[in-house]
Amino acid sequence: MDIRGKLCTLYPISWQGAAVAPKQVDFNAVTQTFQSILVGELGRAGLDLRMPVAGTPDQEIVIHGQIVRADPGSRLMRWLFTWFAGAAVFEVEGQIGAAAGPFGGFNAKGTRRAGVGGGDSQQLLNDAAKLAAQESARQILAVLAAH
Amino acid sequence: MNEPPPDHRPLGPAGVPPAAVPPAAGAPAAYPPAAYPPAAYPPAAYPPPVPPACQPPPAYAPFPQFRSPLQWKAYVRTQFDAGQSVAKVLSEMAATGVGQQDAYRLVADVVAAMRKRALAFVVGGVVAVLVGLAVTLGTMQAARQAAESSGSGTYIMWWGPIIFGAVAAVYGLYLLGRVPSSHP
Repeated sequence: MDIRGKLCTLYPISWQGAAVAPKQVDFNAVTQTFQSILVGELGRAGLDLRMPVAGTPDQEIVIHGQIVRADPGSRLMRWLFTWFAGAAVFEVEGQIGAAAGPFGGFNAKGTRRAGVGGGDSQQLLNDAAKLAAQESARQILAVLAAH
Repeated sequence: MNEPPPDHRPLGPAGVPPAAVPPAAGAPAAYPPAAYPPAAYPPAAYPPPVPPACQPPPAYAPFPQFRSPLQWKAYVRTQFDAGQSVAKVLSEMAATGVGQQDAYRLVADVVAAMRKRALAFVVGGVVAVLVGLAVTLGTMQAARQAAESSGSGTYIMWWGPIIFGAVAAVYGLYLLGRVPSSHP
């Protein structure tokens, strides 16, 4: 499918059902990072992204996403076992479809393990969300290209 | 087809029943009719049977499942990491409508993944310690032989894998101790 210029409804990433570690982290900033990177990547590929509007039908392509897991990890564990434990993980899944129903899905995970002195958890989680958004965009574009 | 009696006529637009029409002067009272209620009203099969597809769910129907399988796995893993018991996690899944078979399978998958990760720490740590010891002891032996023949020798004290491998193995054993049994 040639996606250049196609209208697409991109729903905001949902936190419903996500497994969130009870840590002192600004998860809104993480969501915004993910969403902005995803919008940038998909827009660069040529999709004409629109926000969903209540009461109006969705566009030709519809993308739903939800967070599976958001874990800022542990700075101490990263410092002790950098490559084995304490990683910041951000995982998402979602569906790509048309008005008739979904025709594909994506599942992306971003993991960051290293930083100076174990690294700042907020920063690492943001970076993990960025990686997850890039991987999500890659998978979404692959599904659309194959459809 | 018999018309329903006036009292059963639908309400007007404003929700007010239609006004009763007074009988004409001199005419016999037509209301209520002599045979009231009419024999055919209400019909014998009233209320009509509800088709099976439209039957309401039973009162004990579970809440709709609000997590995808991936989300459940991540959630269960988080709960186990926080020290929750398998029984509590299973009961929570049952309360949210996850089938028993699916719940047990999901828990078993998570437990297997946790056990695999813990064993990887133990095995990796032990291997690192052994490699560190082998390099250290091997080069010490070579240095000793060199010292016997030429008077001096050098050896490598590879303490990094020994120390961190030991710590990783101990951490793996700790993780292994926290892996719950897959059955409550």
